[in-house]
Amino acid sequence: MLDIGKRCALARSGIWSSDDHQIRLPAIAFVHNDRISTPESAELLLSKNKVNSSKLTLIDRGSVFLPSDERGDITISPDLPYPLSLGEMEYPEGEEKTGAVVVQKGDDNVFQESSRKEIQIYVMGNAIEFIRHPKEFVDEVVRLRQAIGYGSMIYLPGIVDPSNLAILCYCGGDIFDSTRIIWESRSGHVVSPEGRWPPSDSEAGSFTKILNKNYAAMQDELYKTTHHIRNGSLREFVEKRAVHDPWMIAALRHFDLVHYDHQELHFSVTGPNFHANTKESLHRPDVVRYRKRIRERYRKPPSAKMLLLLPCSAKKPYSMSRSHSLFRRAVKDSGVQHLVHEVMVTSPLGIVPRELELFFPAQNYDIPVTGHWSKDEISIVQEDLLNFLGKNAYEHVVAHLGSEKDFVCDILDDHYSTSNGNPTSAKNLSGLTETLSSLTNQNSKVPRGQRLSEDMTSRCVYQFGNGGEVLMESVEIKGRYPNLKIFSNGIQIGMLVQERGMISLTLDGAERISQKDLYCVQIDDFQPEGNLFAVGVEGADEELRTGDDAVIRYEKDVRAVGSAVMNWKEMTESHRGEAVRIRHRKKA
Amino acid sequence: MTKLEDCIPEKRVFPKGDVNKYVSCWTEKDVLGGEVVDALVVILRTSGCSWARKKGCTMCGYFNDCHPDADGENILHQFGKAVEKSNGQTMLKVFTSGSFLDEREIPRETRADILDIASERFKQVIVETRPQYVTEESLKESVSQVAGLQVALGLESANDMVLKHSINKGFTYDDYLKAAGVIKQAGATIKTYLLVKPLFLTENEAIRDAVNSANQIKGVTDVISLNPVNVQKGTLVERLWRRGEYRPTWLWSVVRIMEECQGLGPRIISSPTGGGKKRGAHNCPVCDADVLKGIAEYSLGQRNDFGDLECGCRERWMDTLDLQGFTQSSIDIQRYYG
Repeated sequence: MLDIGKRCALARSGIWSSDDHQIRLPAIAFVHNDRISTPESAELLLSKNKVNSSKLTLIDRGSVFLPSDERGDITISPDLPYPLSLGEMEYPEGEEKTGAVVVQKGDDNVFQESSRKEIQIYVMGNAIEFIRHPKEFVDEVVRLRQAIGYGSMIYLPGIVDPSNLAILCYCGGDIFDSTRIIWESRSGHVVSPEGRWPPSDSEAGSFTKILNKNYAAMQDELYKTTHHIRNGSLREFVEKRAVHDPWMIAALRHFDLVHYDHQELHFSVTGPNFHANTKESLHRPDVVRYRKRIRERYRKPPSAKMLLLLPCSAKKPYSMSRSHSLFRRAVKDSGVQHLVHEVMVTSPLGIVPRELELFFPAQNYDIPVTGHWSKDEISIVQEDLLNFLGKNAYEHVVAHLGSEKDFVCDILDDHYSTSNGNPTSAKNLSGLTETLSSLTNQNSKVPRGQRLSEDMTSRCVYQFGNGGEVLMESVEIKGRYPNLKIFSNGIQIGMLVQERGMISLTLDGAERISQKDLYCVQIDDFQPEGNLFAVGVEGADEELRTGDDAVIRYEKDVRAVGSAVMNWKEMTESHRGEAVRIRHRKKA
Repeated sequence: MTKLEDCIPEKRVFPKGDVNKYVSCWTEKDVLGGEVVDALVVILRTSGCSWARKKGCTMCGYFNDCHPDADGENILHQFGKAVEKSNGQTMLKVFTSGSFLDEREIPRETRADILDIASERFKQVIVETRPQYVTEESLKESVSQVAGLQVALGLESANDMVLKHSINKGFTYDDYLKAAGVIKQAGATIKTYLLVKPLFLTENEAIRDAVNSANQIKGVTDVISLNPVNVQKGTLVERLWRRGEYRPTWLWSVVRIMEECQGLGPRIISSPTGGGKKRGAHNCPVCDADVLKGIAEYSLGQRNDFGDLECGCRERWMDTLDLQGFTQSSIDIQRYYG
């Protein structure tokens, strides 16, 4: 039985219960035999024979050529280990597969519904061969997860060491083993997240000492990786680890570029703060998703007639920073602030409209600021800005920028540049005020309330997609930014929550979203009492991601609202685990 | 979906060696009646193995030593040249790159001529054949010519899964047993080749397969010759070996098999082709020569155990036995882990 507590990208942390045993995932199965000791703290053992131990043991019965009769707590069915280079081979019909099965190239029988019930662990056959083929590894682990869903575990045998554990989990691996580190230890290598090292003088020549040191390194890395899964920060951790080995960088790039959809589905729409320090972070699926949503979902507040491009700030949300309070003061001084649309130019997000500055990851990323922009960063900003201007029309464009000024202004047609050098200098700021007020004579002023409402509509549409504006029909906004609440006839519909970076709905808000059939989870005719579990989910909107606000309803009748703990696919397919953490439920 | 036989490379056109020249001929030590004797080995250039012409076995490259036009006259000529070299050897091993008893390879009359000549000079004559060419007729005839006839069968493994899905041997264990019955009935002795480390078996499975096979045939065969796979040109084995997906067996494994077969009944011998080289069974450069020598001595009855052999690489070999299966692959882990 599998209880997943936390999901981060494709990685899971949780508990696998088998009989009396409880194994924490991700797990390392330690090879157990009379020559090689296992660490005291090992929870899971790997052996060819039944082991006299209280620990859960994975028994490997060998190949179809000489399958052993051994059986254990859980047993790996015999396989036929043809190398990958032979292609998709025809396999002899074997005995029925149960417990743990090896998945081989071209052998899809194990994925059939009938066999899946009996199978807890899918073992990636030939995983060791992928040591030479990062792209093929990623393709295979994606194929595996897509084929088996969420109720079974993926075991990646023979390839883990402390340097790649994080990325193997990130790709979807649940179980690993100690084979490779034993081998490394015999070679006299001390392994670490930073790669291999020669042993110290006191360890040199002692297999046992080196092995114990390597076991400790492995378990330490397992601890850290598990922490980052639980914390939602695995991606950044993987980027740090990946720089130690071209294999990992290649795997990560391929994963990002070719399997974006698969990854994006599993990325939460909320998360902790992170550093975007590496080239790889430009391709983080949550960053790419943000940029895509700006293109596909976002539309500017209609009364904003002047686009004001601003630099980002280190402090988030931007408006809380010193530089941005200076910008905002300068804008306010122009007297036409409700006609001005502040949009930040930044890497790796491209552009961030002011009203979206709380949405993840806009208030969560941190980059090294040097004023030197890489070509990749420049092209992200230029592409996104051109696309944005193509879809959102302004009467005037004002650029009040620092180091990004040249490459931004390069692609702008008619525009005003109000900053020379430091954008926060008194001279530049007063220039900004003057320019804005001089440009507004021909425009009529817009009431504050209207603009506030339009900004909120932008957020609703960004969060829920087309139709999200339904939340803003005949409503008023109360509160002081960022704690803005949406009321309709005195009843709260939702509120902008800074921590989540999005709108949290009330039941009345959920009712409106339900009318548009957005972000809904279908259940049978019952009233959820605690939280909603996956077993009760009959269907879900394919837009739903972990962290999203989810409307729970029976047919069209809204029963509750809360935040999703799984994406739509997992909650639809799974029979276990919390699917939606409920915030408001209908009174019985 | 690909079948194993479709993975076996097409056999290249037979090279045009001299059709009147045998492939090779040498003298080696063997045991006869408990005594170490000299044996003359002749490899004849024939038109080759009938099975190899179809698809053949995954490890066999002997098709390289054939000549499509070799007829009876050519073969007899080759044999005559070889026998000229004999100088008192008591044993003759007359091999082809196929089956000595296949009449499409060696016409019946030529076979009779060869055995006639051989019977005059040698006490024991060993020939090799696939089981399908073992007939009551061919055996009776041959034994009538050479009393000390030994027929060698390349069983490779008594495990039909291995024969079919690893070796593509083209016959079953049962076929072997039937042929062995006929040979025994005719009064000849039997030698059986067991392959050490067929493709796709782990090092550990290779040992178990050989030991299991030896146990299964102990009442059938007189001699068991352990043949570690050596990487021959133009074979599937070679293709995978080049990619690091196959490693010839460790000599330690051959030693282990010999130890486990101690007292089994049949004499256990081994003379690993290419032993100590990359393409043959090998341990490490430090111990290869000593271990090969030990295996040769054991084969000649000059030693009964290997207790004196030691090397640092033994631990690595034992790791291989312990760990390779857990990778759920049969590739050369050393080459992958680096």
